[in-house]
Amino acid sequence: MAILEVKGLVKNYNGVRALKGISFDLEEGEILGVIGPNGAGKTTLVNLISGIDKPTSGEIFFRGERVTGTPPYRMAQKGVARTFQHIQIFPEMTVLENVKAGLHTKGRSGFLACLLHLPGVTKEEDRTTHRALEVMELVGIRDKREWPAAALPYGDRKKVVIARALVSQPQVLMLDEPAGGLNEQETEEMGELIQKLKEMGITIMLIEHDMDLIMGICHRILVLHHGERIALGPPHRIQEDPQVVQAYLGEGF
Amino acid sequence: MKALKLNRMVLLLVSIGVYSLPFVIKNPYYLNVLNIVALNALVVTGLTLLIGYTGQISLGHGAFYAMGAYISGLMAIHLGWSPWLTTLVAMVITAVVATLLGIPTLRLKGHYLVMATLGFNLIVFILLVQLDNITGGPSGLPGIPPYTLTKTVLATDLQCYWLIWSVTLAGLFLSINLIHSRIGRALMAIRESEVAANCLGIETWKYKTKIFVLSAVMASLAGSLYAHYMTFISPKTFDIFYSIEVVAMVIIGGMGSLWGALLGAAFLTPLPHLLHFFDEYKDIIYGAIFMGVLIYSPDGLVGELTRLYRKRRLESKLQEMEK
Repeated sequence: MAILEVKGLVKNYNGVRALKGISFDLEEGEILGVIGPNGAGKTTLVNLISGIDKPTSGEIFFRGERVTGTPPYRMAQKGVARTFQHIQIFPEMTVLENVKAGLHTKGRSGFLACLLHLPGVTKEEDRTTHRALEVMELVGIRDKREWPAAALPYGDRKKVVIARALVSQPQVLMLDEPAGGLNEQETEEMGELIQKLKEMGITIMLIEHDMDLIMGICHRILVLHHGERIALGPPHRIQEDPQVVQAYLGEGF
Repeated sequence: MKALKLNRMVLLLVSIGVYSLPFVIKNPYYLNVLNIVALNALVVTGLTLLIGYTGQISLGHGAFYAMGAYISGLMAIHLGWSPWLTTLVAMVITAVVATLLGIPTLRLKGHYLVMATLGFNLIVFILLVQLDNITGGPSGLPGIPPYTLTKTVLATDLQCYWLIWSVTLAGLFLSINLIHSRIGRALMAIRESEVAANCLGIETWKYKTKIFVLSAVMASLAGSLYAHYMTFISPKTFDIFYSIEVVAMVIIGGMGSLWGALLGAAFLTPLPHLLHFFDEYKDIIYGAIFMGVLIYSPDGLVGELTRLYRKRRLESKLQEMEK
């Protein structure tokens, strides 16, 4: 069953057509890879689904409900999480605080309760810390809990933002180049982590340039080129698609 | 949780210091300066939540300070209501005005709040000067009744010292609670990356507005305390330079810490008094000290203290290792 349906999505930026009518379904439980050369519209697509940008036309449905143009915080509350290509870590907060911030929607304590620090606040805070540490264990950053995020090596920062997006148990997780800037071993670890997330029941949309990673773990791959969908299918079919080979992999192939 | 306990311990120590100071200092002039320090510290605490923790800049808190002073003062004079009640009414009115100012500006991306609050401060100042049949105009508003507790009139500097400092310490206590909670984390997330905060389900404009309103209400409360303590107010206290001065206190104290609010107010409030024997050169020296702190200690006084503490600890550890 499709958890997310995208229908004829168009986005114009000052007359430049970044997306020219993209349609696809995200099936529940799958890892969908999204590839395409730079400027193909991959990040634009994620921005439209997460609500950061509004589409010029087209519709988005989440579990059958129309969510086109819904603001990002509402999408997050519904269970659609994302990470950013440029990480967007909270640099001056500790690793633990970063991950705990991801649990915002799970908290109930209001402004007044927090000002007065009512007894319920302490309990909720303990639960939040406990849950954050669980996820930090999973991604392998638990031992760095008190580090300021800015002091972390690049690979660890990527793990922090994934933990931050993951901690609220989203239904859909959109990862924007999680392996970008990572070395071979780190990329492999990232692939293992993404597969673990899939096994936890999270549907994943993975934007990535690393072909080994994409081909290795994705069930299906969506190929974008100049804002258009040129192919959608399982990895072996994408590799043989003449249009993809020409447009994406370049003339050398 | 550890950080919350640590901060509460520091607050306890500070409170002991604050409450024992009047047993050493008897001079009413010094007590007056200390009271103004407390009032400024209350305004700056709210501003630190807004600027330091949430990353939103206001250049109009002088206007909220003025609203607290004038609304409460005028109501107490003309309606004969208890100053305690008029203080509360002023806080409510300020909250409504700040909400109306915050909602349209904080929904927008960029620093529109700076312009909106700057404009608001100028308007309020002009109204205070021009509406002289209500506000007393430039010559000020005399005869504001002081607070009374049971039957005691809180008229002396010492009596007001207990009241004002208690309110300021309570403000610090509430702010410390807020910072170490889910809301505090949301505020810092907004400061660090508004777009990422939004994508984590944090309704950023709502939290920005709430913290802006809270900081305005704290300034209003400080203004009311000022009016009923001094019993005389004039527009000059509430001009745009006051708004700049409190922002300077936030920066000099150290933006990332509530203790910076207290230190900034304690350092900058008495400075003009200390420099007064330089006569016409005092503004130059004030400016030079300001620049000096910013150049040599950009994290403010709290940042400098933390660095000194870490250095001392490192040195003592090294000495231990040598043994």
